[in-house]
Amino acid sequence: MQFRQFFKKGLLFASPLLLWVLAVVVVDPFDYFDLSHVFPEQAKIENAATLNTLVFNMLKEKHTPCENLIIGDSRAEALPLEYIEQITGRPYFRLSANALKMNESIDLFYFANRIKPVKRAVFTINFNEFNEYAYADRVTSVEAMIHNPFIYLFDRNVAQAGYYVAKASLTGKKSFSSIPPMSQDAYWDYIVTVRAREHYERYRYPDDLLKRMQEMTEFAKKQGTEVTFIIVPHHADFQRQVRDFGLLDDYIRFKRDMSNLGVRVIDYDYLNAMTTDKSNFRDPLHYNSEIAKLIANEVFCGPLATGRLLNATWASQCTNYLF
Amino acid sequence: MLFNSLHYLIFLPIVVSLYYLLPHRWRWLLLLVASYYFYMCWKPEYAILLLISTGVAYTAGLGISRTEDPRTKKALLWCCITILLGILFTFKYFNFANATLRSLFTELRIPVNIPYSNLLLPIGISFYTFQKISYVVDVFHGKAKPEKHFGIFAVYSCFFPQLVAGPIERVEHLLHQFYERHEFTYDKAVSGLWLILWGFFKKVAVADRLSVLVKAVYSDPHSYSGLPMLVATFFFAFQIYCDFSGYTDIAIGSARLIGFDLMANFRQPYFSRSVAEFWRRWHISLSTWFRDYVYIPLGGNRVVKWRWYYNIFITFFVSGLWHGANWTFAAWGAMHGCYMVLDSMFGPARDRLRSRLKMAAAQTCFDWLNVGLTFSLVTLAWIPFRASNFSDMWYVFTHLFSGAKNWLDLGAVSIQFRGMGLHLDELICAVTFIGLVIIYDWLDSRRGVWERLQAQPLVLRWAVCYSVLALVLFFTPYNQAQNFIYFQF
Repeated sequence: MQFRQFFKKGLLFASPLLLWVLAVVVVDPFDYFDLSHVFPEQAKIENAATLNTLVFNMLKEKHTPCENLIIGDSRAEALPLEYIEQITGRPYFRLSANALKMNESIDLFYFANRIKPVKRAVFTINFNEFNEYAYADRVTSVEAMIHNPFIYLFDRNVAQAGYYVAKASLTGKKSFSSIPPMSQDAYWDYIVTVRAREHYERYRYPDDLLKRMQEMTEFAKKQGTEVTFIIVPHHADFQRQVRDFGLLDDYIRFKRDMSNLGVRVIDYDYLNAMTTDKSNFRDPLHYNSEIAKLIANEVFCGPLATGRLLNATWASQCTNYLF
Repeated sequence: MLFNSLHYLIFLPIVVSLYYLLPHRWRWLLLLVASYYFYMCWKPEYAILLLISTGVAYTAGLGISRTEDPRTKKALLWCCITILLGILFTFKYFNFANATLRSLFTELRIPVNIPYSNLLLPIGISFYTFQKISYVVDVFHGKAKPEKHFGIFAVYSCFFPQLVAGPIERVEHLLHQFYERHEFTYDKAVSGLWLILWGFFKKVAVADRLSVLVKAVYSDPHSYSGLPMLVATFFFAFQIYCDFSGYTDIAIGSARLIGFDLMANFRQPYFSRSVAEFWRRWHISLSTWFRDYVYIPLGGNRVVKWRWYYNIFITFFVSGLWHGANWTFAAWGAMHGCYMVLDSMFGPARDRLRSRLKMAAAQTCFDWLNVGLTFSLVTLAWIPFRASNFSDMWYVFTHLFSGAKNWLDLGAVSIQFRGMGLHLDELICAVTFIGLVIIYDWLDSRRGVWERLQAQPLVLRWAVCYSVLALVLFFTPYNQAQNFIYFQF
């Protein structure tokens, strides 16, 4: 008798959970299950993908694997995908995410390879993320989610994205804005002062990360994957911070180590006409669309004009072009 | 099998359902099979060790009861204890003793080359060994009757909810329950589920979250300044509490679902007003074990003063080594030994001072002051417990307050916490959850939270349960799932 009462109440207690599961499957903000199309794709891209690019892109790669990848942080996202596809005649996919750390880029490369062997991989990197303390571990958690639907069903990010997607679909408005709440000049100063301090005040040369990069390039060579690293340009105001924080030796070592990786490394982060012109940048860390197109042209079609092929010669000379 | 795994969430309902479906006379067999299955999910071959130690304790218990000769009884007791501790030594302490001997002989310039053992530490070995030792000692002293039914004794020795991390049960409390006919009762099942839910919250939402920062700092303390070390040490105090008491809650709740009562292992330890009180509230089953089987046989407090202090110190020192085969654990035990000796010296003066305070408010303030002091001392002692070696331990002790002048510079503080894998929102969550655990414990110390809940209307009861469930489901750092800390002991 008591067991029956327990069973009935248990079912009643569990019913909101079942409703929740149903709601997540129907809204499915990141197209995890890819079963329901009640909510428009555009709303998902504008909301869920903006809220968590990493989950969105990793799931997309899982559903429709691409063998040519551009991997990196927001600087990789800025590269014009359609233009690159047009000039190369090959499909590319941006497996990128905001504020992606370099260890996570490597994790993403291996993740993509586990789905389908990668033929070409272009990484955007820079010294500001080449720091032992610039570490995050989001790729493994998203991968755990990909393998376990239970995590997806009860993930806070998914819940938040689902709410935004539903709200945007019902009201027709984008649920949030990613524009910084300050003027462009103030934001520029903020990046050069506050963000530079975050990046460089606590610094340790990341030997483990370098080792992982070497292992990855070895793996790529064995598999026949063509790997390119682009050292993306920072504005000179931000480049100078490396010197101001006393990291010049580490910076030079970084370039030397990158040149020894045995893959194509193209360096844009040195003092030149492009990096001294403020109009080429949205902020000190992010180049604008014209520069993105220029980089795309040089890296994917060549020849290099602004970008320098990072080899032992350039690595030893690069000090002449710093700050 | 881990409590915090999907495997267990499937295993438990099956065992509970079968338990009530089976006739009483077969239930022990179900529990025995389930317990061995539970243990063998980790490493099947180590179940043999469990079986051997069970056989040894069972035979010794029967032997002791059947002989009248005190010398034979004593010989049987010591033979059994030697075998049980021998197994424990071989698997847990051999490499530690070897390394210590090697370094000692190296200092003396005597070459020693005893090879290291590759044996894995069987989970829960310290717990089930101690439970069996207490059984044979109790039988020897006539405090307990020997169990004649091998099956019942075997299930008592490996009862799955408390097999791998306690509570270390006593024969007079648990054994007879296997003979009792347990009927399903709604209230008991629901209170068991509540305990499991709260245990899960403490383990997965609190302890596993805190472990991220603790692990980052303690794996390389030399990279951090004072504040992160201080925060990590504070977090570890709650990580270990939530981890272990969470495990205990799940264990007690699971046992309650099939009608068993396991002993309480924690009673809001961080509200203790002295270290002595802390040990009456923290890992109760182990502290009472050491009291009854180490401290009292050494003479307890019925000896001259210096010997009393020695007894206290040595009991805590051994308790430290019980936790792990590393001198850092011994240092932790020694610290607590010192605290306890000091408490024995100055505790009476403290109590006199309290009784001289006439106003109730003044006494309350005095009590809270003591709670704060006890918590600080206990937290300080967690440093050697968590540190990997003496060098790290010393570094943390000597740098806890380094860079204190910059603690108000939020920019500098945020940089110090960079790269630890715990973002600001997670940090806020962690602190909020610690607050929740403190509030829960405070309420529980006055009147049981479950009893309070039962007195509330259904809507409120369910709302509370849904809230805790939501915290467990939505705030679990799934990729940070950790083993229970006490499994390694």
